[in-house]
Amino acid sequence: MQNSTKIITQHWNDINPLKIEDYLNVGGYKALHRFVKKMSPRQAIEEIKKSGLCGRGGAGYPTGQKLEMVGVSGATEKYFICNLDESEPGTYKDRMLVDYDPHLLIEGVIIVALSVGAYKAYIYINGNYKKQKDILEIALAQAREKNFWGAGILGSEYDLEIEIFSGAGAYICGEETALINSIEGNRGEPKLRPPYPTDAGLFGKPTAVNNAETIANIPWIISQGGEKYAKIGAACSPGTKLYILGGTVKNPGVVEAPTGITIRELIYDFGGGLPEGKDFWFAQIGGASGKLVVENELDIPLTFSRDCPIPLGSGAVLVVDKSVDIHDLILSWTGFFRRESCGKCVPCREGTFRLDEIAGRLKDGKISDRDKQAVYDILWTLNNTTFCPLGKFAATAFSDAISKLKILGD
Amino acid sequence: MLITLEKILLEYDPEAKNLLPALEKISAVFGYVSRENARKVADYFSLPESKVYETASFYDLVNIKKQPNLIIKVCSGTHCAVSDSRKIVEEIENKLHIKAGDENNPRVKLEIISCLGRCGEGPVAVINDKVYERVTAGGVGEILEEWI
Amino acid sequence: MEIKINGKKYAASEGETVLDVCRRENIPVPTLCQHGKLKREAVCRLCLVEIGGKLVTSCTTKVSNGLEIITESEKIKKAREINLELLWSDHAGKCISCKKNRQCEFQKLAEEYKIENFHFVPRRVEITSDEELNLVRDNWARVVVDEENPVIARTTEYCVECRRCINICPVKSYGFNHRGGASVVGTAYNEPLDCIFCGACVKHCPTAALTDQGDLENIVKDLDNMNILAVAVIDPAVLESIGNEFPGVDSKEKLASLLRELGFEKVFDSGWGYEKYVEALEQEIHPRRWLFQKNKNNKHQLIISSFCPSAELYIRKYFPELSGHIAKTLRPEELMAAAVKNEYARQEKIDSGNIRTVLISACTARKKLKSSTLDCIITVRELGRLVRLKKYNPKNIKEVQADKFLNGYDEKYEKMTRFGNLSEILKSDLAIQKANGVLEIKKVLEDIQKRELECDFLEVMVCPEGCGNGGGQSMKISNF
Repeated sequence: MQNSTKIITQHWNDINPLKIEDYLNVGGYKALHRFVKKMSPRQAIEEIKKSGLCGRGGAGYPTGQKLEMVGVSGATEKYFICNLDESEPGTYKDRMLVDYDPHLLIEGVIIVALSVGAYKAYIYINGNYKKQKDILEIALAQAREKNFWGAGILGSEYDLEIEIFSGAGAYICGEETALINSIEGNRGEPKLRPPYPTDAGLFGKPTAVNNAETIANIPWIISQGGEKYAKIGAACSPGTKLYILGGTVKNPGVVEAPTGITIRELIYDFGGGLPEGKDFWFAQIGGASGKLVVENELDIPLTFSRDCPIPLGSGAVLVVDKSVDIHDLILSWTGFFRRESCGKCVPCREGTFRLDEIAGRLKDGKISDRDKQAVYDILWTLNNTTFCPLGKFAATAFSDAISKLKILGD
Repeated sequence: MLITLEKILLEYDPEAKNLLPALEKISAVFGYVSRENARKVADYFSLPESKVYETASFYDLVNIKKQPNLIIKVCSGTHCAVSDSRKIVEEIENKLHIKAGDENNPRVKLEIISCLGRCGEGPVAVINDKVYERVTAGGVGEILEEWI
Repeated sequence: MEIKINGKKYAASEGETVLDVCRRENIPVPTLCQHGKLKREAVCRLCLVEIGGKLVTSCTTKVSNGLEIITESEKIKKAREINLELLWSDHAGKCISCKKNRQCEFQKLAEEYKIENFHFVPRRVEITSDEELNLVRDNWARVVVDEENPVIARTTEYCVECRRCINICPVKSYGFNHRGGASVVGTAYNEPLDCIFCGACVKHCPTAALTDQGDLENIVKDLDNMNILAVAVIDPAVLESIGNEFPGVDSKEKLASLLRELGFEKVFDSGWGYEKYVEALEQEIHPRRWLFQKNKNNKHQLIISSFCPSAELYIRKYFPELSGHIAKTLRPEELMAAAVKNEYARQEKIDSGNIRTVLISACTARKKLKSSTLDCIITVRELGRLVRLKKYNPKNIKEVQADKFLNGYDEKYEKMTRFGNLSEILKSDLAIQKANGVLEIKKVLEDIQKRELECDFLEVMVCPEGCGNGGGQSMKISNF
C-alpha cells in the first residue's frame, strides 16, 4: 500500500538520536557521499527539481526552483537557512524531527547548502526548543568530527560552516524575510519584496530559506532519485508530509503519509477516529491560520496546489467535537494574531486587535450589530490590504467560522 | 562566580547577527535587559540605543522590565484552547486574585502565551521554567502550592 | 515608457513608482507614511491602487511599460476607509483642543473620507477614573508623554505609527518598539528625549504626536497685557515657509504687519544682531589665529561656528573632545535680546522687566536659548497656531516696515540669515570649511580628528540646507 511510504520517519524509534553511528548504520550520510563524489551542485538541484518537492512550511513553493535561483547567482557570498522556527499553533513536527533523527536534517542541510554554493548555513530554531537545540549541537559536533561539514568535506574542495541561531519567541519570524531581519539583529518584521531573499537576502546576499521538513526529504531524493520521489503522493505536489493529529482523536501525534491523502483518512485511519461518545463537528487544517472543514468536505485530498480548496499549511489537523466551546477556539485564534502581529502595518496591527476585542464580546454574548459589520470590514481589509500574508492568515479561520459554523448567525 | 555584563558581551563578536543572541543571554542571566545594560550593549555593538531597544522589545524571550519572582504562562494555542486552557487561566486568576496580562503586579505575572510545540501533551502551563503538561482546572491548586 | 492611469496615458521612467507618477501628474493618492525621499515603509496602507484587480501600494510598486492602474474605485475606497477608520479609532480624536487642529494630515484625510461614524470603541481616550483606566488598560500602556525636554513635546496618544520620525531623525532617537497591538514609536526605555533637537521629526509628523514645546498661552497673555511691551524679533529664514501657514504672507513687511496685528508693540528684524555677531566672531577668530600661527608647525587654529545650536549639541554629545573649538560668541538673537533689554530699554526709558522678547524662528533647537533676556522662542508652526488661537484672518494683509532698531544694520546680512552663508561674509583670508546635515558634519569632524582636514573656521548646520529648511519651518501638507 502506498500509504506506508516513509521518508522522514523511517528510522524514528530505531535509532538513538544522540549516536551518529546509529544513523550511519541505517545508511545515513550516504546521500552526502554520493553528492560529494558523484554529483555536481547543478545535478543535485536538477534532481530536486525532478522530484517536484515543494516547501513544507505552508506556502508550497517548488524547492528546486528556489534553490536554482540562488545556485545560478554568481555572488561569492551566499547563505542557506534551514527554517526550524516552528511556531504555528498545533504544530510540532519539526521538533519531533530533531528529537528522533537530527542527522537526517543535518545531512539535508549540508547537501542543500553545498548545492546552492553557500559557505555558511544557519539553522534557525524556535527559541522555545531548548532541548532540541542541545540535540542539534551534539549531532553537529559529531558530524563535524566525521568531516561531514567544516573544511574540505570528505576530502573534497567543499567548505561549509553551520551555525544554530536561536529565535527569541516571535511567530512572524517563521516568514522568511522576518527571519532574516531577526538574524540581522532587527525587529522580526517582514521586509518589502522585491528584492526577494533569493536575490538579496541575509546581509543583502542571495539566500535560500527552506523549512526543516523540506530539507529532511533531500537525502532520500539524492540517494533514490527525483523521479522516484515524484511518483509518491499527489502529482501536483509529490512526496510525503508530516501530519500532526490533535484535538478529539483517539491517537493524536505526528504521522507521515503521502500528500493527496484525504482528511477523513487522516482522522479515521491514522488517528483512529473520535473517542466514543464524541461527535465530529469540524476540523482545522494547518494551525491557527488554517481553514475549517466540515463533515461534507472530509474527502478533499490535501495537497500544496493552489487549486486545493483546503491548503495543507503546516500539516496540523485539529479535530473539534461538538462539546467544544467554539468561543474558546475563536479567542485562541484572535488572541494569537493580536499578540503575534508584528505591528508594522495598519490593517494588521489595528485589525487583529479589534478582532480579538470583538471575539471577547462574542464570548460574553454582548456582540452588537455594529460589531458584526466591523468584523466583516476587518476580515476584508486583513485579506486584501496587509503588508505580508499574516493578515490573510489572521482572517482565514474566523471567516470560515462565520461561513461554515454560522457563529454570527445566518 | 559572578557573571558580569562585560563577560557576556565578550562571548560575542560585535556583529549584527550576535545582537539578538546577546540580548537573549543577558535577559536569561539577569532576568531582563536593564536600561544601563542596554546602553552598554548599544555601545559594544556601535548601534543607537533606540535600535537595541527596538529589537529587545519585539521578542518574547527578551524582557525589558524587571520580572516578578513568579511567572505563570498558560498556552492558548489551538490544541490547548480546545482542551479548556481558558478555564485554567480563570482558575489561576481567581486563586491568586490577579488578571492575565497585568504587567504591574510586582510579585506575580500571569501570561497567556502562544504555542510551545507541546500540543500532544496539552494543556500546557509553565511556571518560571518548569513545564506542566495535561493541566486541568481542578489540578491548578495543587500546582500553585508548589510555588506559594 | 508609457503607463495608463485611470485610462489616461502618462509617460514614466524606469525606477519610478506609481505614486511618484501620480504625484507628478497631480492625481490624488492619499498617504500617511510616505513623505519626500524618506524610506518607503508601506505601512499605512492608504496609497492603495488597483492593478489587474488586485490592491497594491502605489508607493512601492515600480512602473513597467503598459502598466494599467486605477486610483479610484469602490474597492479602493472601501480599503482606504476601513484602514483610516481603524487608525482613527486608535487616535485620540480630540481635534478641537489639538495643537495641530487644521494643520493635521490625518484630520484632512479623515474629513475627505468622511470618517466620523465609529465602528470601534476608541482605544486611546483621556482617562478620568479608575474604572476607565481598567477599561482602557491597553491604551494606557501605550501612551507615552514626554514634556521634560524644552523643545519637543511628545505624546503617543496622537501617533499613527507612520515611522517618518524614525526615518528622518539624524541621530536615531526613535525606534519602533514592542509588537502587535502594543507597538509604539518611542525612545529607548521611554526616556525623555535627549537629542540634538533639530526638529526634523516635529516638522515631518503628520499629526500632533510630535509638536513644539512652548508657552504660547503665556505669550497670548503678554500680548493682551497693556503693561507689557511685547517685542518680536524675526529670524528672516521664517519667510521660507510662512506662506504654508498663511498663503499670501510672503514678505518681511507683511509678516511685520501680521505681528503688529497680533499685538506685538515692536517688531524687529534680527539684522542688527547678525552684524554684531559677525563682528564678534571675527574678533574671536583673528587674534587666536594670529597667536596660533606664530608656531610654525601649526597652520590653522580651528574655530567651529556656534550659529546652529543643534550642531553645538551634536558636537558636545558625539565629539566632546572638539567642543573646546566651538566659538564662544553669543548668537545673533541672543545679542539682539540682550540689547533690547539693556540699551533699547534705556533709550526708550522702559523697565526691562516689562519687556517680553519673542523670537520668531525657523529653528527648534533655538528654544534652548531661552534666557532672562530672550524670553520666548516660537517656530513658524507656532506662529500659525498663535494666529489661529487669536482668530485673526491674515487675508488682505497690508505691508509695514519693521521697526528700526538702535543704529540699523547692513542689508548684506539678509542672505546669510536665510541660507546660512556665514562663510561668505567672514573675511576671505580664512580657510573655511562648510558642512550641512549630520552625515556631512560627522565626516568633516572625523577628518579633522584624523588630521586629514585642517581649517580656520568650520561652519556647521544640522538642517540639510541650512535654516531655510530648518526644523521649525512649516511644512506644506502635500496629500492633496
